[in-house]
Amino acid sequence: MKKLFVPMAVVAAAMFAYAPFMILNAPYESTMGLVQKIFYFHAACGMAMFAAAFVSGIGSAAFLFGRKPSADRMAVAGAELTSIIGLIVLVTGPLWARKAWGVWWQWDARLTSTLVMWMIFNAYLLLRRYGGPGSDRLAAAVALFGMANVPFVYWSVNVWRTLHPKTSVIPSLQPGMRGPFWFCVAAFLLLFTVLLALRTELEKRRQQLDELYLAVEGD
Amino acid sequence: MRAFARAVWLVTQKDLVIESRTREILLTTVFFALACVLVFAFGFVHEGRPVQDAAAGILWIAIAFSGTLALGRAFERERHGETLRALLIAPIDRPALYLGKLLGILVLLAAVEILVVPLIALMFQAPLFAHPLLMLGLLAAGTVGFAAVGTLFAAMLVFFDVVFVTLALWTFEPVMTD
Repeated sequence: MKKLFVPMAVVAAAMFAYAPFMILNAPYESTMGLVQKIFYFHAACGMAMFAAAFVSGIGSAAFLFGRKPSADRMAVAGAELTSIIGLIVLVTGPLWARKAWGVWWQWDARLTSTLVMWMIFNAYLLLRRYGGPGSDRLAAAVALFGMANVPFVYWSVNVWRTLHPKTSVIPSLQPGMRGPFWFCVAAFLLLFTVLLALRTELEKRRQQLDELYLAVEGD
Repeated sequence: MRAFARAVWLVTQKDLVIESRTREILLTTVFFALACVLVFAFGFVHEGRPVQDAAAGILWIAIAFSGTLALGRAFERERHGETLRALLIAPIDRPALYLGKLLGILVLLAAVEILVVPLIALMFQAPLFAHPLLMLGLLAAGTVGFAAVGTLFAAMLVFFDVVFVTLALWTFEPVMTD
């Protein structure tokens, strides 16, 4: 995996450099016009955020029930990525909403549940950082709650009456929009994979360093 | 007078340096304030629209609650590190110690407000920036008042076990009545 870091990062960078041109050439949406183009990054980020939340949740479950340190490292990396990618989702969303709805924020089911999920993963990170000894297992349980939120966030637009566009928007995209959209999804998922692998490796080295410090202090 | 000001600055600087290294109080306080806003959103939003004028109350409660957390933690840190005695026997005036701690907490609360105020304005569609100077004055007066009372009580309660509860009770009452 380590050998793949650089090639994957280069491919992801090239995809992000090319993505604006694809988005520029995509057709304009009839009612929203230019402002709709933020959707290519917003929805793609949303998918990467779900992926990150799943990685963190599954890693935490494996750590809680199997006590695997490698699973814990993946859970930490996943939670940090949920926080960062989630922040992009929560910033791009209101930028679009200001033009489409006239307000920056609406307390509807999709937005509120996304915010709740984002905050759960931030709580996980705060707990890991400041919780002291033993907080890793408690945090793992928090991540499980966070992952359990993903289906609620996804289906919230279909179950409750919300202003946020429904999940049916993506399958019903115009043919000219499909290519750029899935290209952006692939770019974000690739970036997510690279960052996840890097952060997991970093966490592994940090743990090794901690163990070395402990060994030195023990002598 | 210069020695007094220098002592105040040293105490503040000490707290800010510790905070800049750990960022513990800032991150937990901002997160707590956000959690307050979220909880209020469930109560004060009907059919996607916030109740009129709810934002002001939400803002002050978010500041007061998160401020109480910051106050408690600022002194808890001294107790945990067993540095409170060192501060007390330092050859500086006690008022300088109080002012130094107060300034440190004010900087933290200001950082929280810089994030929380625009966020509440956006999320509750509240015209908080309609009169920016008035808003700034109100926030400054409210925060200084809250922190001045809170720092005093937090210092007095530092050796109590139920510091958070007692601090909340003792801090809110004088602030409300004044």
